[in-house]
Amino acid sequence: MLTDAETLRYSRHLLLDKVSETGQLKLKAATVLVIGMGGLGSPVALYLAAAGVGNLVLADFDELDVSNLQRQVCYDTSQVGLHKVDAAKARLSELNPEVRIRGIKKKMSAMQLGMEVGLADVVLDCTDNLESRHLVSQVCHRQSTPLIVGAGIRLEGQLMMFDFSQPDSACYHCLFPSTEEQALNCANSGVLGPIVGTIGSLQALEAIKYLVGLPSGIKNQLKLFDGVSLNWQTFNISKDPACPVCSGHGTN
Amino acid sequence: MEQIKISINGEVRHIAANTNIAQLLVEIGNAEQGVALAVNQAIIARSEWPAHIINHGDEISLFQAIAGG
Repeated sequence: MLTDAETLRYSRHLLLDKVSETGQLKLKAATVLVIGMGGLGSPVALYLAAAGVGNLVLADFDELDVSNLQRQVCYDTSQVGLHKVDAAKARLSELNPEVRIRGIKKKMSAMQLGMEVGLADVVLDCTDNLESRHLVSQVCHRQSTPLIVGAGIRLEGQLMMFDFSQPDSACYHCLFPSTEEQALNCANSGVLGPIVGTIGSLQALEAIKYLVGLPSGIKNQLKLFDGVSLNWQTFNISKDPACPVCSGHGTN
Repeated sequence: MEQIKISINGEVRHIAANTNIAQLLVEIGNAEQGVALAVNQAIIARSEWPAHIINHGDEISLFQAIAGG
């Protein structure tokens, strides 16, 4: 049962047939792991905390830099120099004191990441480098934990969901098998804030839908967003039968 | 040699019939790492590039992984 205060706070959810009290209680019981608290992680964490996700685990080893503020909307100028997870925790606790927030300030080893993924109902990849993206996908696949991946650069965004609870799910490696670091990141290519805002908001939407039991429209799909034309392209991702991560041919 | 008409990221091109994806990428000088490729909105896994023959009218999309966030 929701308390009276929760019924008031989440009244706009309770009006939705597809959420209702049942869905709100699922959100309250849920644990979500957000990896990366930058331009994607900011809207993700704000929306999930506002929605009443009961347990948020935020991972980022960076401190807030003034150049982050142009797109990382979770933070204030007065917080520059703080660890992002501490700054986020302060902001999110103000937004919704009922949410339990735990921060991870150190770069996680594969083993620690495995433990954290094991505690989560769903994982959101909001990282800024390919090495982390490959590792997160590999660990989520191994633990059969659904993964919602967002990325943004310049005026382009990418969004995908891998439901690793399903044996036929493709993985990040099926799509981008190269683990070589690419040059395209926000620090060297630039990005408009609303690009990561758009993609991060959709990651949060997919997470909420997953937690309340609504089907995802983007399983095994890659959505490409063009911020110039505002066009979306959709591509179907098939499991690569030769994938060393998810097809049982390699080190996994 | 028989030619077929395809598009790559929206631009029309003519290529030799019976070209596979790996050959196409060499031909257009775009065989670099980090590239994903779709034919008619279906991603083709890299392991299948040498065996996948491109057909007349195919729409090829090439794009890179984005790391930023």
